[in-house]
Amino acid sequence: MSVLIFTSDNQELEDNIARETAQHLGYKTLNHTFFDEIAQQYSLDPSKLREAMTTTPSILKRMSSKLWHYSLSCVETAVLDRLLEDDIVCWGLGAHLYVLVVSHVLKVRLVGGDGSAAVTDTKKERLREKWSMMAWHRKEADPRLYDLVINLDQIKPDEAVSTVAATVAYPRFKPMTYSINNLADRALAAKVKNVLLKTLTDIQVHAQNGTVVVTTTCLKREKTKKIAAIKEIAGQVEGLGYLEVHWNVDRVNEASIGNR
Amino acid sequence: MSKQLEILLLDDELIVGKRLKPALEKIGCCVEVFQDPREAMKRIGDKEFDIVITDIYMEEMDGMQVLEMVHDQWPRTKIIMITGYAMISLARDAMEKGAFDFIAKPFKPDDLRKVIAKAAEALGSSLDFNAPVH
Repeated sequence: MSVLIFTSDNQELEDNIARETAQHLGYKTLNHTFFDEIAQQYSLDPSKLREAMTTTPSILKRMSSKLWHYSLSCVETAVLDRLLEDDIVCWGLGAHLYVLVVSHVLKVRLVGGDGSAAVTDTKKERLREKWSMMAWHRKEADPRLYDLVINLDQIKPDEAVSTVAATVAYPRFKPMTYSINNLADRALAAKVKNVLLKTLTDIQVHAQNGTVVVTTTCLKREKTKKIAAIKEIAGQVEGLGYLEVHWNVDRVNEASIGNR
Repeated sequence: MSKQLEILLLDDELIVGKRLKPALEKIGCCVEVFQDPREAMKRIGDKEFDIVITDIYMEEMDGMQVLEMVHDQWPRTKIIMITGYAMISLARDAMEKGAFDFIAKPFKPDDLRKVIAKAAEALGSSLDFNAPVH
């Protein structure tokens, strides 16, 4: 069966509709209550973890860029691991931004519900856009990210539940080998990135059919050391088939060293 | 196994048929391999296969057309799509048109065997998975 991901600026409505849909379909739920479990699993402060999911790193808030990226990576890794199970309704964990091109995942964006669909809160939107762009390089409000966008100023919550339940029953949202492998590859890439981000920075990870490609950026003189470290750390991840490390020269720092 | 599964495999790349035919025969399937979609369609017109495995991008005919034609003529037949150009829209379209499964190339023969086993189960049959595949 399928996976459903809800997102909305109105958390109360998102929570109600997601829960009712899960109940209607007999699916399990995965939501913001999962933060405490994630924090415990990765030995993080739960309040910091929640903060990382809503704000960008800042010295004033004592959230370093490294901790922020690592916190997001912990959430992504834990959530993707859970989404490998079927029949789940997920919300409040940012999954709509990192679960992409997985055909058995139906992504739903709920707008309005309190008359807000017609009113624009520019500051709030700007902050959310800044966060989502920095976190996963995507604009959260972009409708192209979703399979279904429902305006709750025009559609009642119970109608939204039945619309979503009917849509997820379409054969196009059935899990298939291709989509299951896609999700497993994403989960593997997230796992590898997570172990690397514990100690390293400037890491991108891509996986296909169990083959993992790590791309990193550093100074020429650090290349050998960093590649060896990546191979050693990532090599311990369960499920890894083949590992390749690609390296890009850190031109900015290289130039600053050259000018000294 | 209650009945030998009849499989038609269509792929314009010779190597695919060469590689998969023995792997599927080892688990007790009877496999007919075609490279030309028109010849495959002619054969499908004459015989109801349990499973049709088809590539999507072929010069002579699109695999999606094969899917629709098989689905119309033999609704019981399970159709498995394989492609080297997998993407979400294509995968969803194939499932909507009645595909049983969709697999991205490259894949291991064992991946396909698992899908065949699922299809066999859906057809009320079973497969001997103890047969070794190399």
